[in-house]
Amino acid sequence: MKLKLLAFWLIAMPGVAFAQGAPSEDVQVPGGALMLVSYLILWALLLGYLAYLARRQSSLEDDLDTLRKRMDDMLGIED
Amino acid sequence: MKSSQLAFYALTAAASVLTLAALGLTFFYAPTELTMGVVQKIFYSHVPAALCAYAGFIVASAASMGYLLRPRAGLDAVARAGVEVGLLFCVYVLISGPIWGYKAWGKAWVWDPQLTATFVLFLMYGGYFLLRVFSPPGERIRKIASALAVFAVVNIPIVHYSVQKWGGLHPTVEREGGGGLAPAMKTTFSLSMLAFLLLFAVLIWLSIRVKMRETRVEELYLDVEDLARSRS
Repeated sequence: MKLKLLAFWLIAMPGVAFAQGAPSEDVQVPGGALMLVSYLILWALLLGYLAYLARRQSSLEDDLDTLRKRMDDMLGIED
Repeated sequence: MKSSQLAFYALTAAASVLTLAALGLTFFYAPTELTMGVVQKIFYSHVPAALCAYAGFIVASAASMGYLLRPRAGLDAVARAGVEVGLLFCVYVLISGPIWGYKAWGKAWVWDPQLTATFVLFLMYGGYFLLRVFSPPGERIRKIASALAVFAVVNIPIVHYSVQKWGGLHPTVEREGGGGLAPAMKTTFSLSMLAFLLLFAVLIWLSIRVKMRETRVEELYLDVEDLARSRS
């Protein structure tokens, strides 16, 4: 996760600077396609974030299970 | 069912219905702008997303200020959630803006005052986010991050008023000096704004809940370690 984040940052930062030199004047891409791409990116970001939160939640549940087992071991409680 | 749970479900339902309605109006009701064409419809998600980014960062900075005055785990959780959700919307603003600009200006990015200030805002809160992700949990890091969040909020009015102060290519539309919107566009824009704000509320609610639980689990780990040490 941390490596992915770092990779994203390293790629995104110069990307913005390079975008300044994008072709100008005669833009051939249709506006409708650009609009759709923009809305698709919005939904990808929102759903991606929800998936990330769901994964964090399930990993917290795993952590709680680990803690519960550890406590049971320490206190000598059997299932 | 607890009242907070009920409120959350009601909020989620309202956000879903309004988001669908806003999308419907954007694609099928709002007229196509004469000079820019259909790409102008990005405006109905770009501007509300920018306001949601501001809201996330303001929530984060207010909670961070609270944390600096009276350190509480809950305030830190709210600050982290605010930065995360704010960054999510800020990333979208920085993507959708250049997509629109590519068609409207012929260039995806220009170092216009508002664009540059928004990029700096992203870097500042991005710095907070990376600091929290890559640092081990601890009081010192929490305080440094809180100070950064309080410091970074100064950039929000700079972003917002940069067009009025320094001009640039960025359109103003509804703000001072802008030409305003046609009634159908205004209706679509208002509904989109409301939908995005509800969506923001749902996301920040969920995020705060996860962050609070993370904090609680960290505390439990420490308690279990203490117990293990005391018994050995």
